[in-house]
Amino acid sequence: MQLANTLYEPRALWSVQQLRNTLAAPSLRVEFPRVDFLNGEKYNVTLTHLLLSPIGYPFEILDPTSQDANTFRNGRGPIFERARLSIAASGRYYLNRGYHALHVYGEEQPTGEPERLNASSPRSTRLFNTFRWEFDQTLMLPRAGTVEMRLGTFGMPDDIVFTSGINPEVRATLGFHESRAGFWPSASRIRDRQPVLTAEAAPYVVPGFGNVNNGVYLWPGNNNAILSPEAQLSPRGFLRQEIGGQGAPSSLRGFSVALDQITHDDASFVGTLPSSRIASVGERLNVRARSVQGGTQASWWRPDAPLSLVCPTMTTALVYRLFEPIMLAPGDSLDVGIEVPSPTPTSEEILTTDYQVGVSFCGSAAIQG
Amino acid sequence: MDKQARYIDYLVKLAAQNPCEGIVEEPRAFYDVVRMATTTARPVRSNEGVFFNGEKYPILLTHMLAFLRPSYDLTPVVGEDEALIQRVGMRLVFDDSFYENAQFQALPLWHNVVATGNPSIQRAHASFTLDRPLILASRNSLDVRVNLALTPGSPRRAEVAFRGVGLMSQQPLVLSAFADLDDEGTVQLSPEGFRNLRAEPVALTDMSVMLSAENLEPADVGDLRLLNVNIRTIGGGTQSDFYQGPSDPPFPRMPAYLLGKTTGRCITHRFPGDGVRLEPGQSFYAELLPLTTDVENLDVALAFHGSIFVT
Repeated sequence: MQLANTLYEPRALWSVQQLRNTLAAPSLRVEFPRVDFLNGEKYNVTLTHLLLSPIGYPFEILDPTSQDANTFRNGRGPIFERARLSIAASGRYYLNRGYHALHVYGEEQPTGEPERLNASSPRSTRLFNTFRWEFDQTLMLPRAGTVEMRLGTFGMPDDIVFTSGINPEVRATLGFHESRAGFWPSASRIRDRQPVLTAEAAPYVVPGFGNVNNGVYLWPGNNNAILSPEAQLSPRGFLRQEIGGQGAPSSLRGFSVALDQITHDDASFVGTLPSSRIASVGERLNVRARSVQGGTQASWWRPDAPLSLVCPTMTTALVYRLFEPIMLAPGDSLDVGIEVPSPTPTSEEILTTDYQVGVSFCGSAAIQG
Repeated sequence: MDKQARYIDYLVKLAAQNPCEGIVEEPRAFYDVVRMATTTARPVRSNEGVFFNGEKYPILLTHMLAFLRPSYDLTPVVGEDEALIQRVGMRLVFDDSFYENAQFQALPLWHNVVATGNPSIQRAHASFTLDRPLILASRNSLDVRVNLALTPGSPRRAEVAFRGVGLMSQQPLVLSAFADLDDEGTVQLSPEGFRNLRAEPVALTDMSVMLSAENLEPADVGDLRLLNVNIRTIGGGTQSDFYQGPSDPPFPRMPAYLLGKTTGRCITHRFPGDGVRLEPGQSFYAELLPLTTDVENLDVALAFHGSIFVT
């Protein structure tokens, strides 16, 4: 329900943790830091979507023909089917007691895209590779109000071999979409195709880029401190595209990020494993966003969230619409834990590495007064 | 409600861009196939007069669909990798005002509807939920014509189906027909398959179209990109083609891939709110720009779907 005289801003609370693999344990369990899900603002935050995604994996599957070479396997599939979450608001109420499968908390939302077929390589990901958040509540900006969105860099493991002569680039297009009156019912303000840098290519000295654990980039790593200088929609760029609005307030309906990683997919493979399947860069790319000269001017989420965790409308993550929105008052936080069954030697999913998963809750802050 | 009150109600709805209910409401789509320029510096405009309401009644457009159609007239055929559509920019222009942005916006940024079919059939199948039910009176039928873009090695089966419900009995109804196509010639699917044999009008609510593989080898899959289709009513309605495309060069049937509004493999954009209302005589055009050199000379198929309201 939209309240009168209330400004709504998008919000996402997110965290990324590792599930340490110890074969002796019956299950792997980790609790996310409570501070990651803290509403530290002075406004109520209503959370409507729950997202779960593997984070930091260069590959979805390294070698589909082998059950042993799981070094880069991101756990999509069996681990997500059997994952169980515990969600509680500290000191106030339990959404439930104990760990429960994700579908207990809400209805899964279709967010997928067709797969890319007829490609020069069968290892590539999605057809359009679009990430999108269509806000439940429109974000109203005053006449001079703007927003800012910046993409970071992504990591590449040393094992990847690049086809000589091809630059394994990724390019991003950013856009905010707003409603308008007239013949055309919508307008958008965009940052056109610009390169997203790998951490190695970033124009900064990066001592000891990230931490690597069996080919998985730990999140957050040092790479989160780096931003791709071109892949950003600056407040000035946003304001410059004031087209036809004659200075009227803007009502933003959402944003999209399109990642063109075709060249990256086609150019990179690991040694003798041409059938490895490359993960979407959106699962290893950090993003920042905030309102400028309007609204709270605070970040919409803790800076450097993985892109796949802040796009509940279109993403590679699993998305559930909560059966009942969770309202966090100022100072409230969520206790969130995840549990997956421990592997057994007879399982098809023989784990030789730790899992790294991200959880987020997306919604909006209601700003009054 | 007296006549004046009805007129005021009509004006209020018109002002809010809500079309009044028509006596007859039929699906309409404008489609075009645009070949990318051979230089990234030059945009290409859609064919003249394609996105033009040449009928006497308003058309409300609700969706835009786009996909990379292989250039079947070139040898060898190019454009097999559909993902290259990520490298095409587009803008829409009506009377010097731009939709979305004056800059060319990469097509994936237009994609705002999740319309992904099941992977096992998505290459061969597309489904489409009609914005407004199509009313088919008793004994009326549909004229459905299809053709292939390339002659197949062995026949491919094309099938079109409509689903609906009886207006009085509320009982569901399925109408369908198929043909095995072995060349590029136009084939009319049997009108008997689409005839309403009930003693009541039926409201058709959604449709689907399929083109099978050439044979039943395990690795073979259908390819709906090869199929073109057009439809009109027989015995009632406007009896005009539902899908209207370029006339120079003539392209009388719409690529069936562009019917994947509900499930398919197209960039699918839903216009916010009620959509775009195109009055009789109004038109707009699309401009497309290759953002990289590897999409030059490829064909982009576009369709704008909606409904006509015969008042």
